Amino acid sequence: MKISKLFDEVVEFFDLKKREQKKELKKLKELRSELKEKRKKLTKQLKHASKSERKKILTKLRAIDNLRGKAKEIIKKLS
Amino acid sequence: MVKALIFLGLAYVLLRFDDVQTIIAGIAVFIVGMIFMEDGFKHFTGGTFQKILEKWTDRVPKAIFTGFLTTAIVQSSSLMSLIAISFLSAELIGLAQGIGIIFGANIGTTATAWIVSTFGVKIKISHYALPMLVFGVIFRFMKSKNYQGIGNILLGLGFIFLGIGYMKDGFEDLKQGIDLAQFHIDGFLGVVVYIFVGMVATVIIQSSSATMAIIIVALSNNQIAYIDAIALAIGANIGTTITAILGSLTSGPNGKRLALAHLIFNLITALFAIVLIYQLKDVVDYLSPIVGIADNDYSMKLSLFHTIFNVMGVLIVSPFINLLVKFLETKFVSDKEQTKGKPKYLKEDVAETSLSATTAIKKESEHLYENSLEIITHGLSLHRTDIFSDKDIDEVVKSSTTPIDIDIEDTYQKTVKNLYGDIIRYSTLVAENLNRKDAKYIYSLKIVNRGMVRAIKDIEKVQRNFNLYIKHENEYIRNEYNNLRKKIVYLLRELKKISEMKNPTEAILAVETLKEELRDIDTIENGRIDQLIRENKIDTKMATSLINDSVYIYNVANRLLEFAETVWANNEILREYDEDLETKESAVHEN
Repeated sequence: MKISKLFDEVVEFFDLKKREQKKELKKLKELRSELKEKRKKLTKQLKHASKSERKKILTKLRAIDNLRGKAKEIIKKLS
Repeated sequence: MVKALIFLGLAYVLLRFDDVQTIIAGIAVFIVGMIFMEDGFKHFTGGTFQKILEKWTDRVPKAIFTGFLTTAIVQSSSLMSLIAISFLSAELIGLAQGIGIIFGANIGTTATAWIVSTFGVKIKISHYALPMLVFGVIFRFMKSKNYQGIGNILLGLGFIFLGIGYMKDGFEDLKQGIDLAQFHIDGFLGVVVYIFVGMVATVIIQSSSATMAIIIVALSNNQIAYIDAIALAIGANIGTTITAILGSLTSGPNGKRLALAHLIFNLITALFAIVLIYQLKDVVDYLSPIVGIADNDYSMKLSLFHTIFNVMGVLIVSPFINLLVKFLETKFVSDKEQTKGKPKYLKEDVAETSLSATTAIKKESEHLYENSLEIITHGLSLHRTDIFSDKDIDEVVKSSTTPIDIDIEDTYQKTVKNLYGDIIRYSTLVAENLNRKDAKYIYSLKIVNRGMVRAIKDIEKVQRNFNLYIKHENEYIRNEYNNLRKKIVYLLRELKKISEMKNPTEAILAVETLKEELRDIDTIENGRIDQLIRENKIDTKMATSLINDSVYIYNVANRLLEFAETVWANNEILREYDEDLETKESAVHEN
């Protein structure tokens, strides 16, 4: 075995990148579910909201969708 | 001249006496090992180690424990002092916690004595040194900084073991020719003399751990008496603070405060140890059989004494930490009350660790934001006291129609430009100490800081029109300009809330919502401009001014938002994979 290959294997052995990615995936999933909960609450509020409140809630819902979309894309990339 | 004579004398001794040569070479190799270990831990631990330190030092007892544990692992109290100073300067921890780390580190250094007395003198430790050196070199040649760090740690351990081995051989050979134990002085005078010797030796060697190693090796070879070894250990503890004091002469107030705290602690501990030396010796004799140390195992007994003596110091001085903090804070006044345009956090001692350097740059960016905000708000004839008050937004804008006399370019030169330059320069200087994530974060900080500078330039361009139109007789143009100001007041209020948010998801969501809300600042996008022109409510000159200025304000708002997103609502994972950011980063490099 070439010494450079041995090095690569040693590097692979100690490589923490995959573990780090797993952690990141977990965090992203948590973020998505946290946002999902918020979305649920806001949708409920929407039913009884006044016109001006409706506008605010809709903006917040759009923002949640944007963030969830971003997180989803990254999850796809990582998994 | 004096130095040359010392070197010549040392060279003569080294060449003339083989045994002494081996001992001194052992000390040298041991110190090289400590340097490698320190450097290795700096590289290898990167962010993790510092994060642990940051999290586990929020209260003094925790800080003491963490200081003890990390020093016992890293085997370098000077590295811990450097980290404590850098954390303190970056305001990651308070002075009381910093002192706690130093106290804990003092107990942590006693681990060296245990290692030397258990492994060093009982087994042929140099046997393990050479394989460690070989693997250390292999790791050292790897590309990753982490592996290079592991390499340095292995090299450090290897050299430390080799150094101990040399010292041991040297003392064994020396024993054949000369018995150092014959210089023993009876009584309290002997104690004082040996304390002084230990102190001087440590000042010369610049490492109390190395001095302790010599003392233990010499003691295990019966070259010195047990009581003299105890006195030498006390002296080593005093000597190490002199090294720290010398090192702090060039550092900032935080470095000086910690160094003085260290000196006070060690002097008080030494004083108690000198007065109670015989009683402490009896305590060691009493405890030794309980912890399984043989009656004639003096090197282990010395290690036990060293630990008891340092723990005793912590127990005696810890209750007075708050008093010590008060004294040190008045003794060395912080240089925070500087002029506005000068950096508050970018100090040399902060550059020691990736975390403290990044925190310092982040805090300095907040400082730059504050200074920029003054220009931006005054440029729009708004006062920050009104903006951040409980007043209704309409009322704030309505009551602020007197143009504020501010020379934007001049104020920018005085309060922002140099600060911005310092942040860029400092970011470049600390780049080599940063781990990958922090390096990436600092790039984004650079981008948002540049954004603040551009926001100021945008405000400069709109200042004249705002001064003119916010009290113009044409109510339509007046309302449009005041609406833009309302948006800025609203935005700044929201950003302040975001800066105070504890839940990161809330902060990210608030920023994202603001992004959505601010889309209608641009008057072309929101269609209002067409209506105003069509209905002849404003003339063409007003219309073009409004179109241009609304874009400028839209850009300013976006830059403020980007700043908030990076500094207060930073999700490192979203950022890590943000393609827009990558494009922006490459643009910074191209510039």
